[in-house]
Amino acid sequence: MPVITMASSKGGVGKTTSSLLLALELADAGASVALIDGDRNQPLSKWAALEGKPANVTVISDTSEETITQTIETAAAEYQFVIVDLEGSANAMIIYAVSRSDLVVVPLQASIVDAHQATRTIEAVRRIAHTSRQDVRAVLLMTKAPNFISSEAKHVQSDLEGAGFEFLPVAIHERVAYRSLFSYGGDLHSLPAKQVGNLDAARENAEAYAQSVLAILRGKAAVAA
Amino acid sequence: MTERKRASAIDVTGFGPRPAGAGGPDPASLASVIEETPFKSRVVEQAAPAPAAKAEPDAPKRGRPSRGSKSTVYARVPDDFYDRLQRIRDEKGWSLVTALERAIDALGRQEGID
Repeated sequence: MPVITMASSKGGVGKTTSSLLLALELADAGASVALIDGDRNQPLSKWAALEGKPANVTVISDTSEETITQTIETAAAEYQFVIVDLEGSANAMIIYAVSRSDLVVVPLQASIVDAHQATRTIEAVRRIAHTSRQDVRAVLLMTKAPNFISSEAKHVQSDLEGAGFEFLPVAIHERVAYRSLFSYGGDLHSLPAKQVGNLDAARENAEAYAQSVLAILRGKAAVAA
Repeated sequence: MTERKRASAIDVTGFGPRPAGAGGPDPASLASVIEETPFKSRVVEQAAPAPAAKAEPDAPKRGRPSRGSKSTVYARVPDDFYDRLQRIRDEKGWSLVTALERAIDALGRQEGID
């Protein structure tokens, strides 16, 4: 039922990886998941063309500004979770996607430049939600985070939280396994352990990330009820 | 080698497909949001004319040659530069303009201009 959109006006922040990890973790838990590939470079479609895609994950790539709302609605009526991955630039597709979303996740890396772009995206999402009278929650997600928390990351996060922006409690770490998904296909459980190191840590991180997203969705549903 | 996986600890019970008709506002009603929000349209972007041809290859280079990362950089802008910048923001969205604004601010700081 939930529609989760990954959005950012900046490219290279980890939207596609965040989308895929969430989809794979939910699918691993038995859910049916639709991944809508709104990026014109079609990275998710390329992943889906590799071997090992879980049967309960469907990638939908044929969408556009004109069709995105219908695509989301059709998928939401069929799948338990719909995840929309938008391209890394600010275009009108985000407005249509947000208008159909329960949660918007805005990935960012720990840099002032990313923080600035991410907050502008969140503010835009809030404006879209307000104008379209939709109850859309928007949260920031720290991505490509090193194992240690850098002073810049702490500074960026505390500044943004102080300004009223909400973070997912789990950051997505910088892991070779995440990049490898786009080379080998499949999920974190099918990657070759000899070639891809530290898989256990990657799996733990991805699972914790998915759980944090579900906790927000459950909290939102409880408030609505 | 593929490892045998353990069972997922994620609980997805309670989440099912969305009931039909529980979507959201009519897309047409979002037109005003699109006008208010500084997002560019992919359709507009695709329809944009091709960029102007590059300058003559043998045209003399403007400005001083670079002397490395510590050399001073000068920027001269025409009087209507900021009007043009605003127009680009309106037409193309904010990403490009943000990058330009940062570059201009950096140049200003380097030159001691407020």
